[in-house]
Amino acid sequence: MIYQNGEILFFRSLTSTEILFIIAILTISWLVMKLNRYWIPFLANKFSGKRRLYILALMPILRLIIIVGVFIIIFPLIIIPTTENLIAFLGAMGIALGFALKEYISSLIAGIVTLYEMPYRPGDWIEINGIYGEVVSIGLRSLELRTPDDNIVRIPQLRMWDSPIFNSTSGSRELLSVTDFYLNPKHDATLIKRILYDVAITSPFLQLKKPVEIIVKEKPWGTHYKLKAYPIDARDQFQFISDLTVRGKKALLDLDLEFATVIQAIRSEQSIENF
Amino acid sequence: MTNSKVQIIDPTQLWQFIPINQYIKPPKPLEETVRQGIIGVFQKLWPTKESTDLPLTQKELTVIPLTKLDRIVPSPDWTGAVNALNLALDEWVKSGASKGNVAVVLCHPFGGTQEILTIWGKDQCWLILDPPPRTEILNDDLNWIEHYIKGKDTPFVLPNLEHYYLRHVKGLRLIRELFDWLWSNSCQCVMGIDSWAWTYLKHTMKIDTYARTILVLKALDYERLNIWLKSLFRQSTRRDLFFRETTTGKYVLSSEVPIEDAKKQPRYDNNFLKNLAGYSSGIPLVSWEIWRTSLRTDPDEELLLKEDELEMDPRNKRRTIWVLPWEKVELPIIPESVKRNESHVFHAVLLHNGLSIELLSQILPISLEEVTQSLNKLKRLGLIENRGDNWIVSAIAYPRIREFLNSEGYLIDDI
Repeated sequence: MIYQNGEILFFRSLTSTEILFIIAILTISWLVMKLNRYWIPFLANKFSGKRRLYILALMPILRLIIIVGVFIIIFPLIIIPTTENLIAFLGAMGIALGFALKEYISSLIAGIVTLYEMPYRPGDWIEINGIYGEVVSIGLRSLELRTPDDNIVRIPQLRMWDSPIFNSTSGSRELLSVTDFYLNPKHDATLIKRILYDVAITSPFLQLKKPVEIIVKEKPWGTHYKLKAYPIDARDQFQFISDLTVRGKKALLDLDLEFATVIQAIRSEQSIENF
Repeated sequence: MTNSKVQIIDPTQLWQFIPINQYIKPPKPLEETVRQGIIGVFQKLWPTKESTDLPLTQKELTVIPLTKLDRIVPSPDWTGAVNALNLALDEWVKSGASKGNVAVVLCHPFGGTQEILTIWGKDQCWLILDPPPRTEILNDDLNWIEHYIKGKDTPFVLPNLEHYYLRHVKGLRLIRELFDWLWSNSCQCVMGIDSWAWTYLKHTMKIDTYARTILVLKALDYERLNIWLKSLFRQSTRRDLFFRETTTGKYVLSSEVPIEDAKKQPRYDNNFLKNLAGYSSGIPLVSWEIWRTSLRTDPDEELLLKEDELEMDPRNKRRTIWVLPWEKVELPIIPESVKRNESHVFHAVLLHNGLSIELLSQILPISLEEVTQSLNKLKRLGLIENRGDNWIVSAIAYPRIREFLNSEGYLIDDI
């Protein structure tokens, strides 16, 4: 502990050069972090596939490096770096922020935890609180999602503490897509499974390295087929589902098969109630 | 990199058919891989047209006219390869159906195996079957199989199995029927199949389980390329040709260094051949096409004299053909403007070893108009070309297209 005139010394006395230096460091790091949000996605979009995801993954890592670097540079300039001072500083910060900026700081801490735990990464397709989209960027306070309708949604990192996060990709480029078909139950299910398999393997969007699976469920109003397959790139998922639906419908209609309809569903509901 | 040491390979061993699990691709030289990586990143960030300006010395050299080029680098003679296939299949042929009735010969695009198989089939007096029209395949028409396959017990050859299916809901029945029939019969059959179609059918229909004998042509590494390229010009002209690099003057093919030069210092540089083998993955017709592209001649020198003049003046038997350094060989690049539609076109064309515009629009979820636009764009870039009604990727661009599709996440051929 360092004393001066019987008092504990906590802060250093700063010269004007040091103050300017600290301001410069803070400004530069803020600028670099801001630029990161633009140039990394810009650079990533020049590439595709895994390379794109690797570049996007740099964003939170660089941010973490900048934050830690700035802290290491500035902290000893402002505060005399003793253990007691460090504990006192952190304690004071904790009390002050705990009362005044609880929500904001909670989001910031969640942001830092996100950088470490990585429950989602830029380029991942996730769902939080019913909002589904691709992670565009991860900030310290919030993350940005691009929805399938091309809206940008900003979600506070705070949500990470109390909301389930559904991550469909987890760092890989593939994502399971499910295409549904509902048929009148009077048909040969083995034949339909084979046709739907052919529909999947002939789609140019299909990731052939991944398996294709068809789940059949019998419902009171019809038969529900779930065609589970992976597109080559998660960004193609909606085009992939559309392609499977269009060609699947055509192949099934060519066999003169009937699709399950709402009327059938209502009738079956009524017959169950009457029963 | 200069290397005067040349491993001696018996020219009769130039062509070899080997089991698929022994197949190794020639490595790409490290310097070239690094160079291409750096160029690739720069092209992505600052897309510009590659400069085609050559140094003055190279500008002075001219492209060789096609008729003369056909004499210097003629179409390959596959006799040696047919003999190699005969040797590889000999035991299987003699075994009847006891070692499995189906033998598969895998072929890279531009690998030449279809031609080799056809010649081999004719030599063996086996039935060589042509594929049915693709419209029949798409109409679920099984007439072809009823007429040509069922009820026959003569051994037969299918040189290009990739033409027996289409990646369409209605385009898979014929090939399934064919394999079901082969599975339940003992008639011997040799199938040639493109490596892309093989990988697709292996993943979707497990066709690799039908055949126990799966062969592939051994890749042409730089030593084999050296022998092959020399044999090519010797099959069409009696004169000695010397292939020398334009910038260094070094000899590109080994054992062609004239005695007076050999006395001074080693003047042979295998760097070009190593790059050629690495870039083309040892695929014969890709190497052949690039080799033809890289040759230049001095316009002041009369290139090929008539044969009778050659007889009169033995001094004229020695001529120099100039070879561009590898970095100056104009290989097509895939620009950023190539998007999803175009990559679908590449993949579809490779899976079927060529498709017409109409079939492309039926197979892909894009309109005829969009297919035409994509094909025109790719043709302008030198990435794709048409042979009759069919569109195929260009041989010289094939390795780049394969790399591109791999980076885009498509299933590529696995040999």
